[in-house]
Amino acid sequence: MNKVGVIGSGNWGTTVAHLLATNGRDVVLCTRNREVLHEMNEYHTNKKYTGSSPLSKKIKATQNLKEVTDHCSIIFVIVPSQVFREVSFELGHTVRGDQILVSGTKGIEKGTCKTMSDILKEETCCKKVGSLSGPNIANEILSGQPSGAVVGSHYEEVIHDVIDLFSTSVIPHKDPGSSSYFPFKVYGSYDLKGVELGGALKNIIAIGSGIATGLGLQTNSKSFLVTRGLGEMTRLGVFLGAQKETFLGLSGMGDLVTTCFSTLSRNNTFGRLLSQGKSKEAILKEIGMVVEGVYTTEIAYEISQKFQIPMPITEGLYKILFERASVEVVLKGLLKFDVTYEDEGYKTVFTEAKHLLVNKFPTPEYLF
Amino acid sequence: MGILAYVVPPMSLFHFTEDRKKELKQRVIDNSLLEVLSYPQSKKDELIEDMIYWETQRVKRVSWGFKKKRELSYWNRFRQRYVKTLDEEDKAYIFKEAIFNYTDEIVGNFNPKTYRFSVQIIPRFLDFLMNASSLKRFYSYTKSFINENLVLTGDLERIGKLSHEATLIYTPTHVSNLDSILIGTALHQAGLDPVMYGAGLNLFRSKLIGYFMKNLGAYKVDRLKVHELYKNVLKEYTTSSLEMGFHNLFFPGGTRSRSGAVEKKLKLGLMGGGIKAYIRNLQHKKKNKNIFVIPMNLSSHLTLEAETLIDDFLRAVGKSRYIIENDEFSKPQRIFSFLKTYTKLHSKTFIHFGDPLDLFGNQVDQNGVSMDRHGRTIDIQKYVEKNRKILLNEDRDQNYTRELGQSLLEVFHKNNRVLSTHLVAFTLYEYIASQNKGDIYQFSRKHAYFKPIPVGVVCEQIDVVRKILSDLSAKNKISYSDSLRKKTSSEILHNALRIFATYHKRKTIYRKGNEIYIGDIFLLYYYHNRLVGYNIEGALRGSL
Repeated sequence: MNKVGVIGSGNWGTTVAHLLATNGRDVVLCTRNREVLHEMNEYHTNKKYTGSSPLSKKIKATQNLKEVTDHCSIIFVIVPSQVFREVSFELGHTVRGDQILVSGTKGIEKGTCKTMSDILKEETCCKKVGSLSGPNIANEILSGQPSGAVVGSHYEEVIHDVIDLFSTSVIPHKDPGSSSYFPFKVYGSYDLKGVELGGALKNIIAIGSGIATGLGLQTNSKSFLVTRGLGEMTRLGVFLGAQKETFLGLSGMGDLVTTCFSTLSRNNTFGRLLSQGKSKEAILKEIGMVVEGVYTTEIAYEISQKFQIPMPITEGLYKILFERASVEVVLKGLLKFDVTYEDEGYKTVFTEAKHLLVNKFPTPEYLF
Repeated sequence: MGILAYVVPPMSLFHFTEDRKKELKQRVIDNSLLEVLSYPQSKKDELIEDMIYWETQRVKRVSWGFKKKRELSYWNRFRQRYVKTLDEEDKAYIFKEAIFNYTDEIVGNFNPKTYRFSVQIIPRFLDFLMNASSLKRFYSYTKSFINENLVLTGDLERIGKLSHEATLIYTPTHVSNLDSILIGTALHQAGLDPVMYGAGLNLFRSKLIGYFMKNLGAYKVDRLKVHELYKNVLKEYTTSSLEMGFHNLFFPGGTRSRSGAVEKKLKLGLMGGGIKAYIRNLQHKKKNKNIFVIPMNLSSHLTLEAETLIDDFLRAVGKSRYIIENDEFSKPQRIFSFLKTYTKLHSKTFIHFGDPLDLFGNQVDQNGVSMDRHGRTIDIQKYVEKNRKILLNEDRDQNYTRELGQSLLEVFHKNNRVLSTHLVAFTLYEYIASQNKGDIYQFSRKHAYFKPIPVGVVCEQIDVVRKILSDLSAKNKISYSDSLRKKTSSEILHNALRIFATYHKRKTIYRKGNEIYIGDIFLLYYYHNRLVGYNIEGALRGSL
């Protein structure tokens, strides 16, 4: 039971498996892709997702989910949000109540408004769940640059065990002359919802930032977008039960800044290509990987409409992505948006609900 | 076969003999002391200092005269003893004395004779009061108060079966002090054994009610004792009683819902004892180790203490900071008038027994095996294992109890039965809120100037709300019964008007000609709150 399981062999899944393995853990990585399985076990690379970076030999790839659940006390689930429920359901056949499940996927489920850890709890018998999130561009981590993340969970045990797994994690720096080794630093947070929502909602703003880059806009405009975007993320997050402060941490602000300013981010790339006039479908085909931000935009827009939470940037992006509105029109609309004070969004939310002094339970998710 | 011959946990309260009472007390004292003595030095000091401070405060607040003097001097001596303590042994002695006294105060009693007497006599006595003029009715059991006005729903057979195989914790929603009497009667009606439950000290003060409380398995909870040591002893009392196999009843809302809404937040302090008891059962390899939770929903058209509760809610905005001692429950004539309203109008109280849950919030099948949402069986022992060892872990177990709380909240909302008074109050209040800006405080100042609402408009609005309720009910989010569904909106309005016209000092709403007037906006708000929490108001936006 000392092994660690990772489900999903995409670029973040592979990176997490590698980080764990370099820290001396025996990792069982479950993948559906036969070619990846073969490549990982034979050549210790995953060309499709992590390029030619050599991966640790302590990773054993398998197609059999039971092999993971039989031998691992902690299992990371890192598969696209659209298949997350399906995979969790399968996991539920063999998993037991003493195991810890950690989601590494950043997304919200369409139609239910549930986060990934919610899905893990619904589809399996496990209660001890958590979420790993932070400014983590897989390729940068694999190339040996220092980085960190935050693990959110209500359970002290989950936080401690996950931090322990990574605590001495080191990746040899590529530069042969350098003797420096950078551990992957993991922090803990009790605000699971905040950690998950920060990671999911930032993808929306990242698409916006990509569009801005594509249009040739400079730092001023992008900072403007990112800051207002963070406000919007926080507003929705707080409504869904997260704490405001979490959005200023690694999983909120940290992740947002990374994705908005990095050219390696998928969501950012998607935005850039979009501003060049390409269609959504064509870009998705070109990137070849899942762009979570597209789905998250749709879901966040739906929630904001249903509960009247002001989210002008998300609304604008929704119009560009799903109603084929022109970027220019949306941008002008955003700048003309009738807001006088910086914190006005919160006021509107509260006046709406003012005649109800009673808490609006059970959580908004109950109402979907 | 004598009663004691087949005694294995779970045990009915009928087995709560003097010996068992002694055993329970001893367990509580031993376990509490063991826990306290395992604390670090600084924590122990803190516990004693807190106790002395809070006890002195309490005595100053509630006692008077000679009693006050005596109690204050007791705690003074206690303080001096503590200051003079030099070694661990002295401190352990101080703890022992305090724990012994608290246990002695908390422990409840059960007298089978009183129980039999009360379940047979109370209903008839109520009937007699209600129908003093008709002796014929007094003797006819089929037309009793309970048969006509108490409706039990849910899988009672299964719960009855489980009650012989596992220890049960009943967790009802709570709006009125009458609830515990109703639940006691309902359990008897359903053929279930009486249960242990905690009751506020104020309920023991009344001579008549106090007598029944003392002898029907209630243990005393003094809510003015706010320090940790007392709370620990109280928790240990429930834990040990569950461990011994006695069925328990907790109101997970902690106190009566002040706003009238279904519980939105639970106080799970005592519930935590469930997992502790389960772990001890496993460690002692008991045969009947399981503990299950039975959520119960109580719904009735009117609430006895509605006026006081909503007043307290609006003063403290839901913080329920005050322990209400002088409410309608302490006035026999109000209780009488309330019950009279009930029998006369054939108004009913619905008690729904929800499906059993395990201590971790999972559903349980017919045989008491836990299942996940897809019906796959769960080995719940794994939840409390770490590296194949069964262990207590305070943080983990608190979180499990929180998960259970979450499941309970969902069940409470799902099984919340819509009644005509709630439906009408909700519709009218939302209508007013859509026509006027502000909140309940503002409405209360200006509602005298509100225009009356034509009956036709009210009926139309009720239909709009009913449509949303049907949708919610189809998604299994609320209990919208067929009997209400079949009625027309004007019948529902008429029924609500009839009920609102009675009991309360002021009519919540009344009809004059073809128009509906608001008589008491606070009560309207109170009854409206029962349907808050479903975002019905969100769905109504624009249509009212």
